[in-house]
Amino acid sequence: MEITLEIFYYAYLVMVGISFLFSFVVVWHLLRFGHFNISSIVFVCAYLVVAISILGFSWQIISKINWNEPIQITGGFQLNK
Amino acid sequence: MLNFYISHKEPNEKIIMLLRRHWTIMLFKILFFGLAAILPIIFYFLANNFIQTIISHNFGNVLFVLITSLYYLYIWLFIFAVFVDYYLDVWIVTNHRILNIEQKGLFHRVISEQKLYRIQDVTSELKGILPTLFNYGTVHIQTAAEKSRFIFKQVPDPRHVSKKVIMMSEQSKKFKRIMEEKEEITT
Repeated sequence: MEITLEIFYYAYLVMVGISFLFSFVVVWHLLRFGHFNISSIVFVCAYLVVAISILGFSWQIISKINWNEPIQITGGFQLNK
Repeated sequence: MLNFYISHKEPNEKIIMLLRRHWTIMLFKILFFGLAAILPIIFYFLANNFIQTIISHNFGNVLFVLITSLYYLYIWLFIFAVFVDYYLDVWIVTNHRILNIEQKGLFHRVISEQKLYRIQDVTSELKGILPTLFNYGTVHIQTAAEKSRFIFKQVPDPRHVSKKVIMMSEQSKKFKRIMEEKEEITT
């Protein structure tokens, strides 16, 4: 059986999507109950800057990967060099 | 000046104390995640050969990049969630009442309040090595109306807080007595 690396890419996107969802909920909580003041905005901005940096740094590496590359599954993964 | 939004604020109501848990409580939680963030780096140096073998394969490299990216993204999210949980747990003492606002998880928020003149007993508790070292502890407030006590958890300088609450409560009781006497005279 043969699959492409794309599956891992989509799984990654799903996990990033879930983290976005949770981030939204946490940010919403902070702004809704911690109130829309300067300190709340600073905390949210700091969070977003680091989160975007992690994703941006990852994207620099991820964008170079050929996602159409096949992987052989014959009782286990066969690593292609 | 203390500024915090309070629902159905009474006229002339001023915030006297705004308390959060002691900063060390949040710091220890964040340190735990900080340690979790350092672990892969330590593992990378300890098992360098093993990781190099994995990364040298395209599939291994892809998994390594994706998992590392997600790992740090989620650690950062957990740190932020811990901070928000700390930030949203607030105990407020105004010149009229005490408010207990607790965020218990993302979708569970408890807000309770009690008038200052209903306070019967205030106890401060400083228990353990770290609370003694950093001077934080619990303040138990027994009110006339409820069986369960108001509890200010892990707040800095609990003795000072309890003294202040007792003082505010006494003032509130005096004020109420005066107002009641005035009402009696007018009627």
